[in-house]
Amino acid sequence: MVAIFAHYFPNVVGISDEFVQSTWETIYMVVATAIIAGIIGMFLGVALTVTEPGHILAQRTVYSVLDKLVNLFRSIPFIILLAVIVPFTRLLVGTSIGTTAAIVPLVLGSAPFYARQIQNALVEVDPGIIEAAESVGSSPLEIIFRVYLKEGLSEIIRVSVVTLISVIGLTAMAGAVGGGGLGNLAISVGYNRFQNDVTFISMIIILLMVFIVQVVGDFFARKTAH
Amino acid sequence: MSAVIKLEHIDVTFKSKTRTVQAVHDVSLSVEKGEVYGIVGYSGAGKSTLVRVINLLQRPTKGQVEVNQQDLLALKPKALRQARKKIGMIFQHFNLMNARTIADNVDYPLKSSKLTKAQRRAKVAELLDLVGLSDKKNAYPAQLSGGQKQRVAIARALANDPEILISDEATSALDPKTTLSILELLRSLNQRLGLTVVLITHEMQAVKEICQKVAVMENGQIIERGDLLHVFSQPQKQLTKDFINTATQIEQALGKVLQQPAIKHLRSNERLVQLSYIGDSTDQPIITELYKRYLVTANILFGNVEILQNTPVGNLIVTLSGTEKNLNAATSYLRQAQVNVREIKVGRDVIPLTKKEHA
Repeated sequence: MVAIFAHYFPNVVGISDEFVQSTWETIYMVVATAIIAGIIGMFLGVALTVTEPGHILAQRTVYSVLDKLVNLFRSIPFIILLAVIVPFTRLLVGTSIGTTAAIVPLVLGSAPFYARQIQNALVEVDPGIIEAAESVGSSPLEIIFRVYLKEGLSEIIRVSVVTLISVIGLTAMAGAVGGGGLGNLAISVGYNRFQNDVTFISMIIILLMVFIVQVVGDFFARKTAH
Repeated sequence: MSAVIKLEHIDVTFKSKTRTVQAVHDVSLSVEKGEVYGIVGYSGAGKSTLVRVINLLQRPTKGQVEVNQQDLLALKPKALRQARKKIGMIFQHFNLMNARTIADNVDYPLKSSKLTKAQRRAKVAELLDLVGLSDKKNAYPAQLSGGQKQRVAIARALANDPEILISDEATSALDPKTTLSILELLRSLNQRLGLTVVLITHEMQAVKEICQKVAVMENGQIIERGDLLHVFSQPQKQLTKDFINTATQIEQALGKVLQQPAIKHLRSNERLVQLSYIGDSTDQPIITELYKRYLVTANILFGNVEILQNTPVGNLIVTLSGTEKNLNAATSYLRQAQVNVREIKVGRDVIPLTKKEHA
């Protein structure tokens, strides 16, 4: 088995330490981004939902500013965003190179996306249910936490899976700013040195991550749908 | 008796960029404590908008809203939410929370109350018992039938011990049998808890079943209102008559009666009449009297008797036969006996129709 592996993937065996490290770097970036962008995106998504005209905290100006901001950030190609926010990254984490520095553009790239996804998930909550909650005297905050987030949970899990998978994809580009990770390994070693087996295995590990996220996410989404 | 709901000169206008819709126009409504008040109208008449004004889910453009002796429009958001707890509401599509069990749905309004967990659990059990769904407490809404869902919604609406229950087309999505059982439940809640019920619907059948008072709405205005019995027996407006007819089916029956050969070729000594009466008139053997006194025979072609609030309201379509003089005397006798007699012209009206068929 080991011999067969070594035969087909000679270069991979030689740099197995780097594989382990790159995998951890990718996981680190994904998890950190998921947490930070998750909080920001969730907040923005809820804000977009409730401030939309006709909803519980309708605020036309706030909604329209948030809406345009989210659209703006979603329109910037990620590879350009990486470069363009370098000064901001340096201000925030002291450096613009490395795994931690890569988290800044990752958050900025994925939070607006997640916000829109959350908004789409919460829009699905039946307005009649919101009205019923209002009719029993619930406050806007109670409606957000006890109705929107509770009724929309299954859908929230689904859009979180989509976002998480897109974040895994984005981390592959973090190599461009020295962020490391499997994407970096695939390009800087596999592609540049013509070591196709390294590229291939990098891809397999990323696919494996995506697969696990998908399966776990689907399980919980199904469990919370009634 | 005092009014628990007082709406005065309510206007509701919806404005969009392209047009302005006046959903409710200068409507005043007063509902007494313990009443079951029905508001009927076709969709788009503004009745949903009007009842939403009662708990300010819809703010009126103009007018006064007084509920439980409180001016709701003057309340701050927090006080308004408190006031809303005393106004329960149920909906056409039930609006239950799908991610919560039946017990949790009923518990939802209690979450912000001061009750302890144990007290809340007891209250939920009591409410589910009241609507007859104790065995379903751990089920999810998706597992229930429409009627059961509406029962859960009723239990939820009653969680904060409201004085008023607003029913917004609550039976419109249900089959006739389930509709009756839900109306029966509302009636018993009205009687046992003294709950004031405002019920809006497009089905006269529902109103007929439980309401004491009724208002008919059209184009954002109340065009007719009063005691159920009064409105039902002496409708003034055409729309009201149409609604009542959907419950009594008199017009359809009349149409069929007129198609019968015996009626198409009514003899000269026969008259087709519709007799309508309320209450006591039914105690006298009218038909027998007609023959005994005037030798007038009555042939009943169609009959409908509704029992509204323990009072019979009857409609008969009969042919009376006898001599001209006796027929006139019989008619005035009937009128004296508080029976409303409406002569239906046939003969000349119908004959051209048959001629047309042959041509």
